[in-house]
Formats: sequence, structure tokens, C-alpha cells
Amino acid sequence: MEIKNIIRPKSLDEAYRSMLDQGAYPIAGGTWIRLGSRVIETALDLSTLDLRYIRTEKGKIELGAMTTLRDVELSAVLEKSYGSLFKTVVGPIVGVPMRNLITVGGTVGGRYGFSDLNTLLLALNARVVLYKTGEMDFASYLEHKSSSPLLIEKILIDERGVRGAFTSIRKTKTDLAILNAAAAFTGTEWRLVLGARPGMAKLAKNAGALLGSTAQPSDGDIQRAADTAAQELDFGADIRGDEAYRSAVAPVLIRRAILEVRS
Amino acid sequence: MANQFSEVTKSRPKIDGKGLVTGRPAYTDDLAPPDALVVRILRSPHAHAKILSIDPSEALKLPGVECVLTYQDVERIPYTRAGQGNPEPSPHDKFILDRYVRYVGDEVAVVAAVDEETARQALALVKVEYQVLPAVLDFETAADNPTVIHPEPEIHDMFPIGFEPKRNIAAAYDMEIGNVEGVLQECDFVVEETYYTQAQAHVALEPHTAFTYLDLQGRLNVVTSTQNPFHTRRLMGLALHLPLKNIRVQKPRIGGGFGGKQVVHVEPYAALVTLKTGKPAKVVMTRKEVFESTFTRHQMRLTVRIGARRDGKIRAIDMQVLSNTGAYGEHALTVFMVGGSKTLPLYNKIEAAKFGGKIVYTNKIPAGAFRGYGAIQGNFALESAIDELAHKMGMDPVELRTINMIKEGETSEVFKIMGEGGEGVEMIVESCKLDYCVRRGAELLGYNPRRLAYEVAPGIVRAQGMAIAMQGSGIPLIDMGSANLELQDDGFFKLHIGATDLGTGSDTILAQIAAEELGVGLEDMVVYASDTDHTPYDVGAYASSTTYVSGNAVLKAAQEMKKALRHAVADKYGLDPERVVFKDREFLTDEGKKLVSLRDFSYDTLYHNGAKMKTIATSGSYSGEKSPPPYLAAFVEIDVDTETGKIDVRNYVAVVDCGTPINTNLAKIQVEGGLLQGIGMALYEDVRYSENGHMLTNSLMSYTIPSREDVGKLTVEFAESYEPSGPFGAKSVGEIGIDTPLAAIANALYNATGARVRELPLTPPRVLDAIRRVKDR
Amino acid sequence: MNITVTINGQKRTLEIEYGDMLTEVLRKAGYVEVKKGCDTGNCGVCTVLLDGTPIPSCSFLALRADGREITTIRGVEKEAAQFADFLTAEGADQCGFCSPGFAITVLAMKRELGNPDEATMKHYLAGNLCRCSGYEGQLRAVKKYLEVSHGESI
Repeated sequence: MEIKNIIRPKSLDEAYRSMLDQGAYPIAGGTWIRLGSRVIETALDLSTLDLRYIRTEKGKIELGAMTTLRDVELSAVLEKSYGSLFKTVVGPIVGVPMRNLITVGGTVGGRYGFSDLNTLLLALNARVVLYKTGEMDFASYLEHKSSSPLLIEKILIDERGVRGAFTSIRKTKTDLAILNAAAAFTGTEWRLVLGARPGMAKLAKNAGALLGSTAQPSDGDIQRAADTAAQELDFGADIRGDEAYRSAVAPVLIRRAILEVRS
Repeated sequence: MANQFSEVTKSRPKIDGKGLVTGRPAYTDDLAPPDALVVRILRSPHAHAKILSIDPSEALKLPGVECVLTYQDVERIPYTRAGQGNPEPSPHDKFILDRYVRYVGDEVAVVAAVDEETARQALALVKVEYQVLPAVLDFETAADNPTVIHPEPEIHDMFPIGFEPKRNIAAAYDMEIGNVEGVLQECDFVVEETYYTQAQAHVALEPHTAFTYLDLQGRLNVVTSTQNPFHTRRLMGLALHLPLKNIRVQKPRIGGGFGGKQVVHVEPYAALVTLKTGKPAKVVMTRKEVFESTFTRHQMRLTVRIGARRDGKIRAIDMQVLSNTGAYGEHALTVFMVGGSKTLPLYNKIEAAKFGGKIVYTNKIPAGAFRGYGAIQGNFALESAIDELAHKMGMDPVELRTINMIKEGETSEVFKIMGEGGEGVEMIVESCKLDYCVRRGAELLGYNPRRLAYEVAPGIVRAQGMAIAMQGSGIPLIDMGSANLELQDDGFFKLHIGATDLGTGSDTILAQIAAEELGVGLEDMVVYASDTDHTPYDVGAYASSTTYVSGNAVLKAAQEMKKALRHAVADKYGLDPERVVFKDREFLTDEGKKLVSLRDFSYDTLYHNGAKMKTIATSGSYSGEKSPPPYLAAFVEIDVDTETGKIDVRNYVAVVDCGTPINTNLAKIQVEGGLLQGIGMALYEDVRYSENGHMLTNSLMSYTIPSREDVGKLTVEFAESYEPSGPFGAKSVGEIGIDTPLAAIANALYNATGARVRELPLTPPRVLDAIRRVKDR
Repeated sequence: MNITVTINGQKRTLEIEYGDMLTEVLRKAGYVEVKKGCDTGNCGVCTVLLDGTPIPSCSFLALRADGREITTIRGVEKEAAQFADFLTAEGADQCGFCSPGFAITVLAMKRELGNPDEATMKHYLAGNLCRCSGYEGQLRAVKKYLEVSHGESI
């Protein structure tokens, strides 16, 4: 892997400009760039920006783009609002040393199909704050196509009022998921998400609607919602599993996630 | 038994352990000369192709590129890379560089440059034109396929092995004892099923590495991560057309082998560069290259027929096997045969047995040696079939095994008939504690045949299963090991052995054997191993031979040393040697009068004894007349999530009869490590390909080995056992640990769900599918 | 470019390319205890401490190490030797290729968590793969080591 030039910006503005004017390639954690023997003309080192924080502001928890997954795993702020949910989600990712490098921004920005964190963030109705481009909800971000550069500044989630759960099926404990699922109740609506389909996380809107606005849906409604989620979304095959398996196991994961939120 | 020894059975720390853990330079890449040329290998992107033209000129123009070598630069000599004794039971079907490529990853050209980056760039500049040929990717349609993978006229076997390359058959074998058809017809219960085992990757954490240089005398020196330095020297001599006296092979510390380094691997490519340029050269494989371009376990299809009488006696077993050896035939016949020779004798009282089949070529990565070496595949089929038979008979699988399995003092006709590529050796099993292992294993797990499965949470079923296994201890009359012992001034001993420590600790345990016999301590031994210039011959680390074969050689050398010492001391004091006693580092008369200490005598013999000064050195060699099997009984408890198909191993109990464990901790770790690899093959590991023969599982992201969170608990115990023909009663323990998890877990899955899965690995999709089909019935 | 890094307490100036990852840079500078086992950051044999935090050096851009402190297992000799005694006492050192990375992660865990329970231990160390030992012997060693040493600091 060759990098011909490197920019180490002192401000978000400088970073954004380099992407715009020079097509600079942003490097967050940098754990993946060496996979594949590419040549990068100009690389943008985001580690020099002050984007590593987890803080509360106006009822939101702000996760800076360069926050590591280990920061997320150990965060007292996240524990206070979400219990062990974030620990459960990032825990299986490779190992502690790797989680000291992988960033929230890199994970969100990569829009990886296999991402466990993105599935949770979509369920929690997180918002992505992009420098210059603006703020948008997570689902919109995942679909967003743009000719201008996207520079993630931070991710916002609600500090209070949202209860979530996450579950997944994987071969070994540190493997990528064959399928993952998250459920969240915002107080007024249920958000049900399936990810690693193997495609990106997607919201099962119809399924969520079936549960209405009650925090305690019935077992029957839960099963119906789970089945609907599996039918509503599409699945594919990759090295970890085929379409038939993913659609068979999807309702099981969704059901379990909902039950965990409900209890 | 254990208390009578002062060194043997003691859990001495490995002599190299502290240095390795604290990071001292020790492995091949740590030791390579900093100015060694970096050698990279251009590899085939096609599963099967002919090289029409190959043009290195652009690559040669790049500054820093020293040479680019193709098949045109190498003498065309067929050889085998399989690390086996001569004559090798593997066909000589490989050329260092050839005009044809036979799998994605096969060698095309060799580039040497001053650094990594230049070598990498140069690879991309070598222009190759291929004529793509049809690829044979399905091993079940490989035999007699219109596409012939090895049409070359020069390739050959070393002795008849059923080598029919024009039919894509690398080897074939058949044997029958008695009349299987006839006996099966008389059986009250017959099970006939077909099982599939997948290719598995070794994933030794150190990638294959070698460096070469010419020494002061112009000899080719090879330092390599290998399991078999002497075979490597011999086979490189053959392939490079060099006299063996002009080659030296050394093994430093290596980062694991498991059979994946029981081959000549990257050494010839470094050697070619050194011979061409006169400069040191090194090859360090990337992990991707290790996955794609070394070896895997043989994929197999095994059809088992097994018949029993109503009274519980198993009467006949028939095993027919199709094995996939990939693009080249390394270890083809021998792995295949071990599938029968190290499984069938478990049920030695049968009247009739049949074992046979073919090993076929395909355009996939070559298969080769991998711990278990056929026994693990055979064990999956046989031990699953035994459970299936037990269920058919309405009998407890443990009871069925207990009635039929081999006991101490018994034999099996299979021992005589099936050896390493040919006939074997008759053997009475003088140590076999299988009955104890089964009883104790059941006890340790809390095995309850009346309650093998129960729900522990909605949809989660906890269940138990079991399996037994055997392996061997070296290959009788074929594996040979030697040891040299020499007394040094100050009363310590040099122990030189050809045996190859892969990290297993053989340097340590062989020194423990010597120390025990000499009545000294491990701290009085200085060990040097695995250097063809300085250590005596040893086949290397495979076939679970080191403790038994090399250990017996060390024992002999030590016995000779005691004799030589007594004679030398007797000579000095003018006594009859029979009257000199050597005990606790002292020489005494048989009346107890002290003559001299070992330490003092060591100075005497080297400095003080005038005309009688001499170096006191002895040697010992050993080749076994038998291969006494270690045995293992396994009992596993799993949780099955019946809604997702996920299996979790909660507790794996293994009770092992390895004879005397020379070093109890190291023996235990061999079993524990083997269990994890077996569990990996049972549940997670699978070498997979795209439809045009590209390996999809070529990284640790796509090929997952078990992490430390994946298994709840391993419980390993040893049976009290003593093998009279082994050094201090030892047999072997290197492979036995890996054999049982496939069947034990599959049997537990059946007990949990009624789903019998005969294909591996037992991944969630495969298991869920099987569970659903049971529910649908 | 040049980077100035403090490695095992010693200030070093190293010449690197922008695209270099830390493992190769460290090995070239003589720190061969930092191993290379895979291409994808999964195995953990390359683990070092960066300002006291364990990271996979194979996945870390060397240029980011400028001005920072790296510790390899040879930089914590006393503690490494002590842990080595526990590991070798179990026979769990085996081929040793995973050991330096594993040991440095154990020391980092000790610093962060003291003497945690078994499940936490296994989880913290999950990113350090071992193919030889079956993990049980390593667990026995770590437990015994932490019992004895968790009060002490690096």
C-alpha cells in the first residue's frame, strides 16, 4: 500500500477542503487501508483533528468520529443511558487491541454490510453530522449518494428515553456476523433492524408499525412483527451463509431482540 | 508409577520457553541476513492453464531487481515435496517451476529484488500469457474426467501405489479381511452411510519462511521453518540436482507446523535465487499465500457399512473412501490409508473388514499432511456410524463400544495388512487403557445415557455425545531417529538430535529422557537439534514419532553412555567394568567405595588422563518394530440453539492413554491444542472456493479458527499406562487429541435434536437445515 | 519522512514511507519480537503498547507513531520474565509465536483491569489467537500470574 502525499489537517475545514480540492482520501482508524494493494495519491489523516469524545449535549450523546470502539465499550456515559448494550455490540469485534484503533466514524463511513454497530445505530435512530453537508438520520445517511465529499464529524443518539437490544448469529465469537438484529423502543415507536444480510442494515418499517406505540407488545404481535420483518427485507448469500438461512433466522433474532427490550 | 522417576513425567518448563516468550530473536525471519534478497513468487491466477509465453524483461529493467526465473531457468526434474522417507509413497509429480499451472496459486515465476516493495512491483511487471484449460474442481467427478491434470511423461511413482495420472488418480488401495458381503448378510443390524469431511487449513501462526545463502565453502545453506530438515535436504538435492553434501538444512525455532510444514515448501525458490546470484535470499509467505499456496487437509467422502448381531457384537466393517489430493499428490496414499489403519483396529474383534478407494487429483490447492493424517476423517465416519448403529439397535453407544473395542493384550489383523503405503507390521497391543478412559471420561462429564439431552432455555437443548480414537507412534520400520551424546568438561552432556521441535517441546522431553537414564538433571543437558550438518539423522516431527522413535534413540544413546563412562572409569582405575557403578553423578565400586565424581572425571578424560584422554561420546538409533497406539475417550457436552443451529461446546472431556507422559504439562497441552483444532474442524473451519477455483477463505477474516471464547472448558486427564516398548513406557500424544471432536459433537447433536449430520463443518446453516428436516418429518 | 518514536524507553529516529504500517517498521528497526502472522489484523501476534494502550501494530500507520511511546515485550523485561515463568510452568508457551503479543496484552489487561474474572479475561484476550495450546494452559497461567502480581505495576 503506497501513500504518495499526506495531509494532517488542523481543522475540519482544512480536512474538508482537501477532500474537495485534492480528492484526499480520509483515513480514520486506518486499520483497513492496507488490505488491497492500492496507491493513494493524497491521504487525509483524521487523527490530528479533535474528534475523539463521548459527551452529552442538549439531551443527545455525541460520539466524535474518531472515538474508538474501545472508548464506546468502556464509556460510562453510554452505560448510564444504555446499560451494557454498546458493550454487547462492539465486544465481538476482533479483539481489544483492534478496538483501540477502529473508529465510530470509520465504521459508519464505510457503510459495511457486516457492521454490528451500524445495525444498532439505525435502530436507535442515530443522526449523522457531516461537516458542511449537514445533519441527517442514519437511514438517510446509509442511502445517501453524493458527488461532494462526506466528512463525518460526529454521531448523535438520544441520551434518554430509548431502550434497545441487539443480537446476532456468528460462527466463532470474534467472527463477522452471519446476520445481526437490533430492536429499539423510542417511547412512541418500535424500530426493528436487520443487518449483515449480507447487505447493509435496513429498517423493517412495516414490522415496527405492527407493534404500535406500546412498550409491552403481546407475544403474538411480537411474532407477527418478527415474521413481517423477515418478509419485508431481502437477504442474500455470501461465504458465511445463504439466503435461505438468513431469512429463516431473521425472525428469530428480531423476536429475541424485541423480547429483550420489552422485559 | 510416576513417583519412581526424577525427570520423566515432571512438568519441566521448555528449555526455550522463556526466551521465546520474552521476545528473543528465534524464528527464520528474525535470523535472516538483513541484506538478503527478497524473493516473491508470481502465482497462477487460473486453476488450470498452460503458460504460452512469459516475458520478464520489463521486470528486469526495474532498478533493484536481481533476477527473474521461470521454468526455462530450472532443470526439469520431477520430485515430491512430501516430507517422507525414501522411497516416498507420494508420486514425484511436481516440478519446481513448470510450463503448466494446476491450481490458483501455483508457482509461475520467481522474482528477487533488494527490498519488499521492489519485488512486489516487479511481480506485476512479469508478463505472462496463459492458455486457460478446463479445471477439474469437483473431486467426485475427477476420476476419468476428460481433463487430465498430469499428462506429463516424466512423472512417476517410487513404487506401485496405484498411480494412474491419466485417470486423474494419484493413488489407490484396496484390502479385505474375510468376506464382508457374506458377514453383513448375516448381521441383524446394518448401517450404511456416507460422510463428508472438508479441507482444513493448518493456520500455524508463523507463515512459511526460508532463507538461503552460500557458506564459506560454497555450499547451499538453508534455514527454514520446517518439520523435516533431512527430507528437505534430500528432496532439494534431487530437485536442484545438487549433491547432498553440498546442502545444509537447519530448523531454528518455528511458529507451529501441524503437518503444514512437513513438506518442502518455499525453500527451492530461495535456493534458486541464491544459486543464480550467489547472494543470500529469503522467502516470507504472506498469510494469503499460506492459505492459497501451501497445503490443506485432504477432503474426503467416506462410505461406511457396519453390521452387528443382536447380541451387540459388531461383525463387519467396510470403509470405502474417495480422497481429494488437489493439484499434486503429496501424502496422498498414506493419509488415505491411515483413515483405515488407525480406525478399524478400534473394533478388532470383527470377522471381516474392507478398506479401499482412490485418491484423485483436482485443480485445487494440494492436500498434504495435517495432524490426524486421515485418522481424523476416518474417525468421523466410523464413530458416527457406530452411534448410528447403536441407535438402530436400541443400545447405549457407550455400551456398544465397550463390548467391541480393543483391549490390552489383543491385536488386529489390520496392523499387519495396512502400513505406510504398503504392508504394515503385526503387533500385540501391550498397553491399552481404553476401558478405563471410557469409564473415567463418562464419570468426568457426568455422562447419563438415560438423560442425554434436555432443554435448558426456550429452544436451547443441552446434550452429550462421545467418541473414541486411536492413532500411532511413529511408522514401524520406516521412521528412524538418532541421537548423539557427548560428555563435556564440567560434567554436563551435549545432546544432539535430528528430531524437530515445532514448539511442542521435543528438545526438552528428549533431554528429560536422557537425563533420567543418566541419573542427572535436565539442567545438565545442552540440546542442539535439527541441523543436517551437525545432528544425526531423524525423519522429523510427524506420525507422532518423536517421543517414541526419537525418544528410544535417545534412551539407547544414554544407555550406551552409561556403559562407556563405566568402562572409561574402570580403565582409569584398573577395574573390571562390571564392578563400576554410576549413580547420582558419581562413580563407585560395587562395594560402595567412591572412585570419582562425574564432574571430576569429565576433566580427567579431557585434560588429565594422558594417553587415555578421549571424548566420551555415544550414539543411538531406533526404528520401531511396532507402532503402539495411544488411545482417547472423549465425552462432550454441547448446547444447541435449535432456532439458529448454533452449537456451543460447554465442556470437552478427554481421557488419554499415551503411556507414560514424559512431561505431563507438555503432553496435556498437546491434547488440549489438538482438541481445539478438532473442534475448529467440527464447527467452524472450511476451505471454500469460487466456481472457477479461486480460494474464498484466504484470510483470517474469512477462515475462522476458534478463539479463546469459543469453548467453555477442556478437561484432560491421563490414564495410568505403561508401554513396554516405549522409552520409560511412553507412546505418543501429538495427534491423538484432534481425532474425536468431529464425531463426538455430531453424535451429541443427534442426541440433542434427532438430526444426524454427515457433512462438516457443523455450521449454524447446516445444523438448522438438518434440525428443520427432522421437524418436518 | 522521519518519525521520532520512543521505543522501549529509547528515543529512535526512523525513516519511513507514508504508507508503512508499524509492524514492518519496528521489525526493520530490529524489534523482531513484534511478529507478523496474518494480513488482516485478526491474529494479535503483532500487538504492542502505544502510550500504554495495546494496539495491533500491523494495522497502525507508522507515521502516527511520531512523538509517541511504543512498548514491546522487550521493553518490560522484568514483568515479561515473570509472566514467562508462569506461562512456561504450564507448558503453554509452545511454539512461542503468539507469546510476545499475548504477553504484552496480558500486561495491558493487568494494568487496566487488575485481576478480572475468567469471562472478562477471556474476552479481553480474545483478539490474541493461539493455534498450539488450546488456550486452557494460557488461561491457567494468566490466572496464577495475576493472583500473584496484580498489586504490582509495570
